[in-house]
Amino acid sequence: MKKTVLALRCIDKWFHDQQVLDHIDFDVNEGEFLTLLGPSGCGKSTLLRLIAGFDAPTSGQILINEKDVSRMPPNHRHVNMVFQNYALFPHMTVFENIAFGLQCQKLSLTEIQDRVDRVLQMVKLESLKARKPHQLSGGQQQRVAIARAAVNEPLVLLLDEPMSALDHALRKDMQLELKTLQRRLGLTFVMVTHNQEEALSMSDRVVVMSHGKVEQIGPPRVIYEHPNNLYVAQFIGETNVFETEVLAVDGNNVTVNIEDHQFVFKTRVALEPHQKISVLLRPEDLRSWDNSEVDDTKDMISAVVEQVVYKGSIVDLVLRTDKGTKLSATQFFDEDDENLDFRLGEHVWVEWPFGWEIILPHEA
Amino acid sequence: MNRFFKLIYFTLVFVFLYLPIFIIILYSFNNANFSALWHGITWKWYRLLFSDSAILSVTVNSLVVGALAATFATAIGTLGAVTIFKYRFFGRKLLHGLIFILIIVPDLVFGISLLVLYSMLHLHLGFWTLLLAHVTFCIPFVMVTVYARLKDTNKHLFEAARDLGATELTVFWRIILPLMVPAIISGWLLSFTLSIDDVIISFFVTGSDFQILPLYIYSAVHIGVTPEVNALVSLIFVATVTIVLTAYYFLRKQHAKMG
Amino acid sequence: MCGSNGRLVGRLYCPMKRDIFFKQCSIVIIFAWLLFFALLPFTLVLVGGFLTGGTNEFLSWHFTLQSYADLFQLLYLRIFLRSFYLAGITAIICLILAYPFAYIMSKFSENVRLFWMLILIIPFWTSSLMRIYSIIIVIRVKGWFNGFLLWAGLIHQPLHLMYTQTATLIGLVYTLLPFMILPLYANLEKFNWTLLDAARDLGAKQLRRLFKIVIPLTLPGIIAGMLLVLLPAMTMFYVPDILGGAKSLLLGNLIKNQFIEAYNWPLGCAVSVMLTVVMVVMIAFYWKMTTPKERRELM
Repeated sequence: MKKTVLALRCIDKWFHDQQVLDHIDFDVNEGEFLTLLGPSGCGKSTLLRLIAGFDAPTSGQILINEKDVSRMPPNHRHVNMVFQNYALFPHMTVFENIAFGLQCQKLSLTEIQDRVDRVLQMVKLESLKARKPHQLSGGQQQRVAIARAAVNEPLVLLLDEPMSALDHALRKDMQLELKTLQRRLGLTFVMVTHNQEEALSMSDRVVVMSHGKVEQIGPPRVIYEHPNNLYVAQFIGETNVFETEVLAVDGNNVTVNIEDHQFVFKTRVALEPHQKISVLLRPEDLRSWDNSEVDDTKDMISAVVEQVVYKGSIVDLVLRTDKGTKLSATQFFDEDDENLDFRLGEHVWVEWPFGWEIILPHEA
Repeated sequence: MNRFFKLIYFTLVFVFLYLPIFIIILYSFNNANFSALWHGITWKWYRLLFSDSAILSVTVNSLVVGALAATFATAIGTLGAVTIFKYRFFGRKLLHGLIFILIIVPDLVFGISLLVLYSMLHLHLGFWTLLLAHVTFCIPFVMVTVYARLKDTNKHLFEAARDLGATELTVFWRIILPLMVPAIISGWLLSFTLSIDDVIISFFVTGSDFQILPLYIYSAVHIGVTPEVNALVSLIFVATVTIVLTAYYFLRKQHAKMG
Repeated sequence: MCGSNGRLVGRLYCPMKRDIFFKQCSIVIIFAWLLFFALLPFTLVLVGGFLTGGTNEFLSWHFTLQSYADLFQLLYLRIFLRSFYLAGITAIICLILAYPFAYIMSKFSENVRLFWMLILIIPFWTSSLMRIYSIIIVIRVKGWFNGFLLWAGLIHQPLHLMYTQTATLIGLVYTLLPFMILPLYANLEKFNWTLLDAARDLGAKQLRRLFKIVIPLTLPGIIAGMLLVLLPAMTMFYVPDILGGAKSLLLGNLIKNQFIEAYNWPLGCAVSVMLTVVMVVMIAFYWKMTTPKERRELM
């Protein structure tokens, strides 16, 4: 079993009479890359600041290596932070920036020299150590900020939207680099972001938050393929939702009516007849055929093409079913189906591989 | 037409602002005692100035008070600006209000207020009472200058330093002070120029045994100011302009480098 | 499970002792200084107006309303009115001179602006007394101004400006002009000029654009400038001392005389309090006419 390095126990945070965090309770394992994901204002940055020690929770405990640090100032927590715009000290060189934390610990000159050089090597910035921050590119600044935090060998390294100061083209590269760097440094990372793509591509686990609450915690794949609720499903990627109700239940099989077709799905959730449910389907799971391509349309939904967005290797379609539901469907070019020529107003049949649908109890 | 109007207007304002200075400098070369009439050029007054121990001693007094007041006011004002910027404490609003009042209150009211305070404490009017007054009226200007710069600084810099294990004192010495250098220099220069030119407050808070230049001039205006004073003021003017412009040139260059 | 586990902690973490010490030291230094050298003296003046002048001490602790009653003597009322009048005229002349300057300056590019700002400030790095004193050379009977007007044929007799209210006025406007220009400029610099294009687009003529858009939106700057000019104008006693002679006595001269010559400190205090009341009324007016955001931009 993995060792827990950071534990949050029932964290509540109020600003005046507004609750920004509501019973946050989860553990972070040693060496893991955990991401707090949510829209702006969901409380994820507040949570990060609580862990860093810039603010204290209204109630609850923050345990680092089983020691309660909720009331400790930032400099006594063995936690370091990479700030949103990096907050590099403009009047110090790269070397001085990185050495700052070690100097505060009053380490010997040779040890400081040693450790800074080692971390500079790890982030591949040895040649730039005499530069001032304003002489560095955005990506280099990010690496200095990470090095400055990492050199103190924190138990947890916190990153507040580390990609937001970079331009769009650089972000993809830095995502990979950050992940590699985390493995090389062997540190526990807790990152805050509002970008779901970033969260999915870098993290070992993702914590999805909304309105100060944790909605779901899990590996990216689980979050994407088995969302706990409608909110998570809709926040992570695009989703088609059919609101409907259960007609009959037979063990693990449920009969459901979608667009006047009866489907039988397997489900792990316990459902009752007449219960209202949502059936979710990702756009890339939907396949559309034109009339000439199909014979048996029993389990297919009839729809009309409303919009075609050509994106190179894929085509995004907006479809309208006969009952008026809007669907989005992503079609991939592949060898089996080279005929991806959809016209506006064309009639299509829509299907999906059974078992790929997500069934959730209806939420008010 | 519009451009012509602008030119005339700017020239007039320019003449209005600079004519008195031009006259001060011109008459420092006038070869006549007291006279407002022009009697030809001479260097005599500059030579006499440096052998006039009375005028030199009040000048030294002014420079000493100016430099000390500027230094103390900069130290206290910088600390004050950082305090108001960083901390939330009881009476912070009152402090804000006091600074606003000190800036807006007429010098005269401030001068007599200190005079009343000093007389109730039975303090002997002289160097110390003058210095305390100058430090006090310079503090708000330093605070406003430094505070404005603090507000423009990324506040995460201070949090980052705390996060890396710095104590409040380390943050102050190693992060805040170096970043505030331009504002601190501006504040010092502003205080110095305010202090060496102050007439109204100084008039009330110093005694006969400690004279400074503005008061020396003020006591001379009715009998007539000698061109020696013109020479002195011209020299101080040239020195001030040189120092301040050089300082601003370097500060701007550094500012441009920092981005 | 959560409710029992969650332990209430303080609103803020408890910092180390040294940090608290540093914080408290900084607060105490600035607070003590300003309380002792600003709030206390102002309070003493307020109290001083209700005391009597003693023989050994200038203020003795006998409560009286005499000084405030004295204020209503005709002599003092006249000085009050004349002082207001002169200060008002000064402020208006400053506004008329400063507005176009600030307006034109705010439309320059940044470097040109900086240049003119320096041009504006540089004269103030010289002794203000000497600058006022050298105005005599310009405006005296045989001075440069009369010389110029006679040469241009605009007048046939030299103007007698020295030792008149006009001379005081010239001195005050000269000294206080930048205090009007700076807040106006700070206001105009942030002015959104596309509003004028929008007004022109909607068919507003030049004058209407000025009076309906520019002036209302720069009102905070105008009021701040008035505040910064009116108050000193009433108190700069050395200006009438040098240029105006004894004839045009300002409030400032009255206060100064009570302290230095007449040794009637309670009356001096009372006059100062009156002046402060005027100041407070004007600040209140400024507060009412502006939003907190506008105030932050100007101050």
